[in-house]
Amino acid sequence: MVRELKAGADSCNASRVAVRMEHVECRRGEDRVLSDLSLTIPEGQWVCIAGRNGSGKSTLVRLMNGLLPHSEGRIVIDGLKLTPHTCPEIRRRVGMVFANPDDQFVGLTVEDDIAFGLENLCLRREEMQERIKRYAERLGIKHLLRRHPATLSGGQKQRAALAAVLAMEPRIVIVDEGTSMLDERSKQELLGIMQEMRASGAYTLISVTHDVEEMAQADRMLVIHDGGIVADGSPRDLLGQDELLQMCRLKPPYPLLLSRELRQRGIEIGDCLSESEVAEALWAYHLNGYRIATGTGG
Amino acid sequence: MQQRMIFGRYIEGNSWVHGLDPRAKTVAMLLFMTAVFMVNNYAGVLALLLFTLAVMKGSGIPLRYFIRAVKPLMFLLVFIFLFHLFYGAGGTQLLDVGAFKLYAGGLEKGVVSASRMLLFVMFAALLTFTTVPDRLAEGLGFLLRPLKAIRVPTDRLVLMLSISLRFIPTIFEEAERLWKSQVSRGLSFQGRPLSEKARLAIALLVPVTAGAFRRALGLADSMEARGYRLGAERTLLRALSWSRTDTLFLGSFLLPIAALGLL
Repeated sequence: MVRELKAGADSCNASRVAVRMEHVECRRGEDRVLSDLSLTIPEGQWVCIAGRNGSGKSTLVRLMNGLLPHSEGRIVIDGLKLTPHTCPEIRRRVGMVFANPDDQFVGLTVEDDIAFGLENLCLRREEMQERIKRYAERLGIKHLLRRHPATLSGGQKQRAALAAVLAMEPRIVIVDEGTSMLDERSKQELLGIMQEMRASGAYTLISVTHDVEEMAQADRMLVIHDGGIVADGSPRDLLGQDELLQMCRLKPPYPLLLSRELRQRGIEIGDCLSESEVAEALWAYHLNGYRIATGTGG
Repeated sequence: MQQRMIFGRYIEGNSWVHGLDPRAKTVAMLLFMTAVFMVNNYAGVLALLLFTLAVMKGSGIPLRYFIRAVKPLMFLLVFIFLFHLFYGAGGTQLLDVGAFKLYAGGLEKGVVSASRMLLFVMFAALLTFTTVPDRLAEGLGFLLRPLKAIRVPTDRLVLMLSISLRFIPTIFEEAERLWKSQVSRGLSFQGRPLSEKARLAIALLVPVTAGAFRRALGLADSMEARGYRLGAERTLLRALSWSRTDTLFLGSFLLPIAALGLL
């Protein structure tokens, strides 16, 4: 699927900047939601945005799509400065998946809903049909095309919403708390698709989340607090900082807690962020112990 | 709640009626309504009933679906029939029991009036059973196009209609959830006066309305994020295409009207 997803979008240049925000400020009435925020996201990166409720995460990503106006500063998306004039073109390039799948369906069937964005792009009918078929197949929802959105499960709805966005072939995909209303299995399915999108290198992925497991999979993590970026680094560095996690009202990922517990018991396997990392580290630890015991270590 | 309601639903199928252009079906519906209001005797009712049954048969949709669509209106149909039966006069006297006198004219008027309603509901059900609501809205949009000349925003009206149809099951689902949640906390209409019932109904209506507004805001964001702009040019996935079958279908509706004119 990775190769297929890659074929679905234009190949990108890794040195290009997908999002650049300079001294951006956003107000809602008298309240300043974001203040003096500067940020650069290179193309092809998966950036995860964390922060407690009301910190300004969703406002930040809505500014990138032009859904909210900014009062100060400069926003450049995929080389285009965001203005009312360039907003329609920017929306072609920035796809957005929202938290509640029920609120984002326009069409009466999944097929109509995928077609909605393509109709706005003024594509020819044949191209629309081809894209609907291609992206429905890739996201495993071909059999659901004639179904009413209300008859789908949460995971199916979110896959359909993602298909509707990907069919528009955006360069940047924003997932605003896309896993927050999903059960564990559906969440894993969506995360799997996001990993494949990242691996394809064809998309810049920006996800807003409260899920540490999702954060652990990203390339980069941003922490927003009171309308500003308070931390920017790799998930491995930031998820190990308990104070930062407390600020976001998050708990460290379970594999990291397990690594710490093992360390306290004298088993040093480093800071692991996923189950597979724990398994690999334990296996290496076991082999190392075996080599020391048998004198075969190299 | 929504499972019980069959009227207004689309039932998937591959019949020739399903394949007709929505414009042909909408205009046919208007012609059929004209015919229904022209009918005033048993022969006319029978002719229209046979015609409707033939189209229903052509749709391949089992009769039980139509019966389910008519069922909620049974009380109204019986009321219309009885009203005309007891208050209609004319023709020979059929029965004389105390204060009630039944006339052949009253019986005919009762049958005809109730049949008019029945035929209308059955045909409207046939229209919705065989046409995807989106397509119906598109067809309506085409038929309303001349109104653009007097600056009626027909595109917006069609989009509004289509979105309303899309949200009917969702809002029903939400209303049912709220209703169950209130019932689980002791809400009951039984034995309460009408004013109290109305107050309780409002208590249900307020959160449903608030939920609908919240959804509308979410939907507006989703539409804008996918490049929708009011008045901007768009293409359509499905083109409305008129075929010979549509012309024949529409032409066939002139037959009952002509027959009724003769009857």
